[in-house]
This record gives sequence, C-alpha cells and structure tokens, in this order.
Amino acid sequence: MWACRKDSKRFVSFNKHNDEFDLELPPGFPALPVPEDNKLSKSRVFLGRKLFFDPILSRDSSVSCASCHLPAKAFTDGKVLSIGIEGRVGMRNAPTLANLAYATHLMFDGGIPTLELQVLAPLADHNEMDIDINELVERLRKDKYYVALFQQAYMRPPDAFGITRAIAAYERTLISGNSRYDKFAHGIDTTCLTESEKKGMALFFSPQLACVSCHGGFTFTNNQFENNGLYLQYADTGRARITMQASDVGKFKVPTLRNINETAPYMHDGSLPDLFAVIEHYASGGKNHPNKSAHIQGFSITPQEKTDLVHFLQSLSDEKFLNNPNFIP
Amino acid sequence: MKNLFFFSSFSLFLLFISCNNKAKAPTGSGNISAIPANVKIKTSLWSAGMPLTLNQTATDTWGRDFRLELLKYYLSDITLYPNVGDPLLLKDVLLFNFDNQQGREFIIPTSTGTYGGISFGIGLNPQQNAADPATYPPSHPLSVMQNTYWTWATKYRFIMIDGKGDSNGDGTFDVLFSYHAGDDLLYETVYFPLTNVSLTHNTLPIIEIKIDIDTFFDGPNDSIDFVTETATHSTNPLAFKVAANFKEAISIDVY
Repeated sequence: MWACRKDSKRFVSFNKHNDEFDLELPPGFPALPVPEDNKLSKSRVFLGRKLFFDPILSRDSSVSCASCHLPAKAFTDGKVLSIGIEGRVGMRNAPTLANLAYATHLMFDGGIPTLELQVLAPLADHNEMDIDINELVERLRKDKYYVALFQQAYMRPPDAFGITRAIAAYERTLISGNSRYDKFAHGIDTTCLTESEKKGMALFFSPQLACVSCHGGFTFTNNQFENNGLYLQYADTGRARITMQASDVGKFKVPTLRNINETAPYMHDGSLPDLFAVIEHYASGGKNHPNKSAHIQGFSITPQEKTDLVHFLQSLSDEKFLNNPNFIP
Repeated sequence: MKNLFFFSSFSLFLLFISCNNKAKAPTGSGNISAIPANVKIKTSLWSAGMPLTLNQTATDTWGRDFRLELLKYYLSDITLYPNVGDPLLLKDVLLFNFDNQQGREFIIPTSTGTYGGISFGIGLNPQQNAADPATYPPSHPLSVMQNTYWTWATKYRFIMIDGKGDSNGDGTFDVLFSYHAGDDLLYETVYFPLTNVSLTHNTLPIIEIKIDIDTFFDGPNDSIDFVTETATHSTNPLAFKVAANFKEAISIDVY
C-alpha cells in the first residue's frame, strides 16, 4: 500500500510482516543514521507524509509543513521569509529538507539536535503553525483515519510521540544524491556535464575559491556554523541565539548546495535573490564582521567564470528528488 | 543518655538555623524507616503578606497595579533530609501551575521519619532539561503537552510568569509582561532547614512553597520593572535576574 498515492480518506493497511521501508541510497552516501525508537517503516513514512501535507497541523488549518517546504522546490518555498498562518511573516528563509537525515544540527542556528524534536518547532512557533500540541492531538484523535494510521505505525493513538516520530521518519527519506554531477563524479555518465559545468566544477573545487572549505562532502555542507560576512550588524544573531556567546553572533549553519538552483532566494534571511548575487557576495569577501569566517577571503572571478560556476551549481539539481512521486501524497 | 543529649543539641541547632534560609544541605548517613507515609507539597502566591491568585490585582513596591495571568515553575530533585539517615529523594520533578488546584498541590508517598531539611533545584537538572518531551505521557511534568518546552531551543522553561501592569495609575492595564527563563546556567539547588517535620503513616504534613511576588519584582539584589523590562524568552541578562529574584521569592512553611 506504500505505492498508494491518493490522499483519500480510505483506510490503508500495512502488512506488519512486510512493513520494512526499503530506502535506496545514492552512490557514495553512508548508511542512514536512524534512531532506535523510530526505525523506518512503510506505515511510519506513510503517516509522516500524510501529516506533512495536512494543514490540520496549523491552528486555523491553513498551513501545512509543505506550505513552506514544497517538493518541487527541494522542499523550500521560493519566498524571502516563510509565511505562516494569518499571513504572519516567519523569522528566516525556509531551508531545504534534503539529506537532513545526516544533519548534526537543525535550523539555521542549530538549536535542535534531531529531526524528531525539530517537528515541534514550527508547530509551536507563533509565526508558523501556532498550534497548541494538545489541540493537535485532540484533532487527530477525532479522525478515525489518523487513529488507524497511528495505530499501525506506532501501536498507539495519535500523540506527540507519534506525530514527531512519523514526520521525522518521512523527512529522513528525503535523500538527494542523484544529480548530473553525481552521475559524472561516480563515473555513471561521464558525458552528462557540459563544458561550462565542468569549468565551473573546476572553479568550485579550486583552492582559489575554496568553496569546499564549507560546502564539501557528500551533502555539500560541513555542518558547521559560519559567519559569512553578510552584515556588519545582524538583526538575527544566528547561532548566538542558542549559545548566547558573542563569538557566535552572525554564525549560521552552512546549508547544503544540493538542488541549490531550486532554493532561491539565499541566505538565512533570503536577502540574496540568485546564485550570481551569492557568488558576487563571496567574491567581495563580505563585510568585516569580527566573527567572519577565515574561509571568506574574497576572490577574483570573470563574468564567464561566474556563469560557469552557476552552471555547475545547477548541475547539483536532482531531478529524481525534485519529482519523486513517493514524496507527495 | 549521650544520644539524647546529641539529638537535643541537634534539634536546637536546627531550630537555630531555621531562620537561615537556603543554607547548605547536610550530608546524612545510615538508613531511614521504610514505613510508608505521605506528604503534601503545595505552592502559594503572596503579595503584601496576603495570599494572591492569578488575575487578582496586586500593587508593586512602586505603587503600580499588576495582575499575574500565568505562573508555572519546575522544582526538581526534591529531597528530604532526615535527622538520622541518608537524604531521601521525595520527587524527581514537579511542575507547579497556578492555573488550577491540581497544579498547585501534590501528595507524595514517602517514608515515616523526622526530617530536618529539604532541598530542591529551581528548574530542571541538566539531564531533565535535555529530555525529549514527546516521549513522556501527557500528564508527566516533562511532557510537551504541558506547554513548558522551548521548541526552538530544545530546552524547558523553568519559570513562566505572564501578566499585565498599569504603568501610570490610570486604571488601564496597558503593559504586558512575560518572563520565561530556562537554561542549565540558571539551574540552582537550594536548601531550607526544617524544624523537625515528623512524617507518620496516619498524618499528612504540608510543606508549602510560598512565592512572594513582591520579592520577585523587588528582590534584595535587583529589581524587575515590568514597565521597562517587559519580557525575556531567552537566556539574556533579564532571564538571570528573573531566576535570581524567583529564588529569593521562595520561602517554606510547614504545618
């Protein structure tokens, strides 16, 4: 029944002897870290997916997780800042959810350590879903369909445990690693990159640009917090909001570059509209904030090289991920 | 005879230090009775020497009216100190919520004995503060259903005080204040000497934790002006002041 993609309110049943979720990982990806209390199963991922797309999760039933995390936009929303219920403007730009299963910290400030705990944040946030978890549980318990799904997935009625686990289970399956770059890099298709993209790739990995200082590895992020010199004074203190350390002011989690072409606008506040603007920011060396990363040194780049670099970044788009029918109801 | 002399002296000593709130907790030795008993722990709110309830108007030390609309706080590792024997962990965590009577008093099973002190952490110990709130049953103090969890920071709010104040005496409660404090750095354990509290199997002694809101706003070391210091929802300097003044606002009564 995992293949059932109609979000109709008809009961689905999962064979308890064949509920194991078979997740195919892209080449070069390590085993998926999965917590003991939330092993992947078809019923859990199915439930999580249903919850993810259901506006029942917001106070006025107007906003779902998918409102700010659209699959076709690599689970971002294309907006500068996310919009919650009643048109409330969120604090930050919606980040992609690709490969969060491997993330060691979640949110731009890294204040949340697990996918399960992260689920609670947008639910409670006044500017996002703004729902009392007690109200949400009550709503779900009134819905026989959800009661059945929770029972199958977690052998319990709808509750905070099941809500957090199910959505996290679904999010854990959002793996992206099948871009044209990946096919080229793994020798699956050595002809799939254009000459411009190859030149851009050479620039990306060059010591002059040193993009990989922060955007390395299979997820194209070092999972660290860096101040990239975006501002001299930060309205949003970033990592310091969590640590209260002055040395963390203006530091934000380094985002993945996978599907970066689909996730504009960029930066924690969505202030840079396109990839050219991002490259120009890094080429300039950024503002001299005291916490600015030593990796941000500035560099010279010609207009053609910028174009090549953008083309390479576009080759990180994973069409299979962006159009995966299993990700949508 | 020697023992009698010792216990009499010790009792006098406890009586003497009972005026000395928040002293250092003693260490005990030996065993306590295993005979079951109960103790009630309740909390109450006070202003100007009178009991206060939520939404009741009170006046701060500067003559400005205010009302509290929410008061919740955690105590953890609540421990009784017998006159003889090892300290007894009474309860790992309690969440006091002034919104309803069930949230203001708890009957806790314990053991008979005579106790000369109580200690507790104001807030949650670091292990509790790092808990996943979705893993607890709804009625548990650490459950996410209690609405005390800071989801963006994955930690609990130890103290939550919300209310309204009249900034200029015109009868309009024009100021909203909201003091939420919670962080491992704010966690502090306090000890209160008790004057020989006897727990027996057929009595129900009450340990009342009294919160003097006047001291909270105008503490011995610092004051909180609800007009100019309206909110803290993080670990900023005001949060430290909130935690410090809340500690000073606590006193214990046993009867």
